[in-house]
Amino acid sequence: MKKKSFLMTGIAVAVILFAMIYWFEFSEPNPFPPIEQLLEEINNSYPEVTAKLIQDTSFVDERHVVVPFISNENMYGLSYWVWKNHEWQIAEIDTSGIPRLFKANKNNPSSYYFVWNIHPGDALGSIEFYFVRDRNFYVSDNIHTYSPKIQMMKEVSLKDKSYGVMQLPEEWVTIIEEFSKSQLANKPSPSFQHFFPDQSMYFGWIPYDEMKRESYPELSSNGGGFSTGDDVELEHVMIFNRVDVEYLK
Amino acid sequence: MNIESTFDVVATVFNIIAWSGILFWVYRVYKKQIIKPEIWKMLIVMIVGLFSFSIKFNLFQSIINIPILPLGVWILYFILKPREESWQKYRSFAWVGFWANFIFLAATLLTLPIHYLIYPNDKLSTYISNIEHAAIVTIHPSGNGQPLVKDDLLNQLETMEKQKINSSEWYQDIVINSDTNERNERFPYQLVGTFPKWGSGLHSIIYIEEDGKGILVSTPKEQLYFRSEMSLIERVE
Repeated sequence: MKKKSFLMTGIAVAVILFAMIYWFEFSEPNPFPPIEQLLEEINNSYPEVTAKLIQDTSFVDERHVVVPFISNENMYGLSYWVWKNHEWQIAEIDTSGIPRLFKANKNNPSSYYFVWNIHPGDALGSIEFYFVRDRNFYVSDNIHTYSPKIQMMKEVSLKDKSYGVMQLPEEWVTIIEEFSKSQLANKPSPSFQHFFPDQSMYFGWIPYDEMKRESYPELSSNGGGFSTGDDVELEHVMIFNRVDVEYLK
Repeated sequence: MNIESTFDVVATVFNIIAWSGILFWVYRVYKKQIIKPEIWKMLIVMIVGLFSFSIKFNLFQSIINIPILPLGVWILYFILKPREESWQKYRSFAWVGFWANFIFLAATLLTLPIHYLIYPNDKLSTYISNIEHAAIVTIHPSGNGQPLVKDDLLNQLETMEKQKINSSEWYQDIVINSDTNERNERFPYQLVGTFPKWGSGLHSIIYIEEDGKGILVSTPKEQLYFRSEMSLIERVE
């Protein structure tokens, strides 16, 4: 009898513990903090800047928020917030506002977002975002392989607002997913990999001024930042020159 | 992600058969042996016995493993030898583990021709068997708009002929004698959302040629190139 009640207590404790962990980890996030609190937290965690204005709060999903801000030093920066350990935390601050690729979930390309906050002094009119894989061929023992060039483009206007968050276009996601699916199927042996040229895909951007001439955003490129660790994945987006782009019409 | 299109039924079946055979063999040895070993220890010994030095080579784009040195058996020998009795008890299972490598070898050797018979790798229908959710994505700006997949694409695929890939020529044709800004891609379209033949596990990337009459299939193991008389795609004006 004693043994039985001991067992029951054990089970009850386990269930309560499990429920608490579940609540802690998986419950709905609290409402996002008010503006004053955001400013305070940004300034506390990165004393090199003094944020004075929050421009927007963009929810990428329920647990990831991008917050563009302006500082006293007249820098246009970005802060990345995550719902973690049951509170809203700053994962990364970047006082340069040139585009980066934010991956909310690394394994799911439809959760990738371009994020930018261009300094108005740079007077950009638009940005072209690119998704590229280089053309390549390989010949060995009469076995040929060829990978076509991928070059897909999406243009964004900066006329209404100079900051933004844009989900990766659906077609780009499809191409990335098809590629990873084919890699999953029939894993090639390492000695075969060399039959295929480099198949890595990357992202780029071309900044334009209001007259649609290439223009380098000097002011937006300056800045620094800090990161609390691996909480958010931010990828560098290469700046392209128009001369490197194929089939310009 | 759809698991179905990457599931290789032939390999899976032969894997199950191989493991069943090995377990049956272990069972037979266990029955015959007079001093019975502990069952869980016996299984661990068998799995350690699998560990071997082997020669690997490629046969029709698959890896063939030929076991040479029974490393696992030697390791077990050094561990169990001091206790003479347990080495006697478990020795046979260590060797079953080593010889089991040859069962896997046989399974691979059977898988290859059978997979080829059911899913011939030079037939387009192996790679494209369902176009219900198919769509065409223009992956290069030299591609013309948003073409559509023809309804009778599957029938047309049957008539397509395999041809040689001249990758270096294709590459040179595009890159040499042309400004970066004027380059056209030879394969500016990708066919997406198709399924390979069920159970082939051959999910591939499928590119469509500029004129709509050629298909380049890219599996992780090889590439194949097919041409047709008529265009496979419809252009929307």
